[in-house]
Amino acid sequence: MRIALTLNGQATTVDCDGDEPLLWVLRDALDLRGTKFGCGKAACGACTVHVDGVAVRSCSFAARHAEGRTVTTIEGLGTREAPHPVQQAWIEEIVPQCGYCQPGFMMAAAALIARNPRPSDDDIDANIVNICRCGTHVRIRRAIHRAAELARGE
Amino acid sequence: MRGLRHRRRRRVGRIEACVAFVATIAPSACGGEPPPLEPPARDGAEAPTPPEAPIAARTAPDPSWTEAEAAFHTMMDALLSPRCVNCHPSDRVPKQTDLGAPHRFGVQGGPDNHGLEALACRTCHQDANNADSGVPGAPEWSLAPASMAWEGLDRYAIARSMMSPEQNGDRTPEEVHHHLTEHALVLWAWAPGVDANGTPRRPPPVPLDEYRAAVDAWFEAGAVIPGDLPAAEGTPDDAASPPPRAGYAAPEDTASEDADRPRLGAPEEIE
Repeated sequence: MRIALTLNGQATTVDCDGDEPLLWVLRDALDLRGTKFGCGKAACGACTVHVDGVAVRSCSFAARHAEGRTVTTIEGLGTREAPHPVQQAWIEEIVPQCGYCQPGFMMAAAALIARNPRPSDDDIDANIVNICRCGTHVRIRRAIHRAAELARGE
Repeated sequence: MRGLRHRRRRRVGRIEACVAFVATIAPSACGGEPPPLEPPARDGAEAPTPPEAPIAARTAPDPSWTEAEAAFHTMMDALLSPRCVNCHPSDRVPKQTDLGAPHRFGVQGGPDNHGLEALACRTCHQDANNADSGVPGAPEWSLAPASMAWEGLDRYAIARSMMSPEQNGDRTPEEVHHHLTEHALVLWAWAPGVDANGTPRRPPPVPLDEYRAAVDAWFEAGAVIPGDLPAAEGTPDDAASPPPRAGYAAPEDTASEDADRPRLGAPEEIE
């Protein structure tokens, strides 16, 4: 089927199997490889993207659900010249180790601070349940606080 | 589906490699033989359920029941299924599996019953079951509001809660009937999809057509909760009201309820 969506701010159409996970459509059909495959069961969060601003596990999101929706991937979160506050904070706090899971974390973090400009540690723990096998969670929490500050202009 | 079979094989290969790795390191880490490997628990998946798991079952019919009582028990046999009760928790934590285990990842209902800011229900659950990931889905996937907590209640208390406008979201009996028989989220229980291992989830123990017929019959008979039967005119109270069943809680004073609201089960409608 042909799906029309707004992808990272651009009107986009793609031909794909409507039941195929959005993750694979993004990576294989649209060549956006920043979104990662981790578990395929909506458990690890590596594949997190935004659909209409909501954090969504793209491995468990059939492509047909993207019809007419606004999808943002890590490639569309910010630019090298103007990084999203989350990306800037990730750089400042030197968060990644191997880096594989970090796009998912950043997309989840961006969804959090968009709705909660001053997340507490408890808010972060309750909302950001992605998995990082390198154990960068302490730096991630610090970076989310920093990203919230940046987003608030502090 | 383009490439998916290959990807699944690749994924299974990775999982098998991980399991093999864990099996390799476990003896040295634990200082002994590793325990038998169990299938790993996964998001959106139901843990393997032993045959003796305490899931809802059909109630054996009692010859003394009226048709309405039998319909009530058939309806409640279905509604007591984990497919229904898991999303009517008493602690704002959705449950999963036939064992009613707390939802993985510390998922919460949140202030609007749709989860948290970055961990909403729709972060994982869409409008339909996802056979690829094993994550269930249906339109309006959400947690029941706190006032509609069923977890821990018996069938009589659940029915009373279901019919109480103070607890049911100010629904009329007609709206409750519609919710029970037409709402896609409720009907999902009879098409609950498969878990992450491809194992079908267990639907309620009553077939959908039988459940719907029972709901219709119970509402048409006045939606009277057994044990709450009002005394028929000219008969002693004890002849009109069956003895309370196990777990029955005496109905609270309903004098403060909205008198203007049409209420199925009111004495004049029963007669």
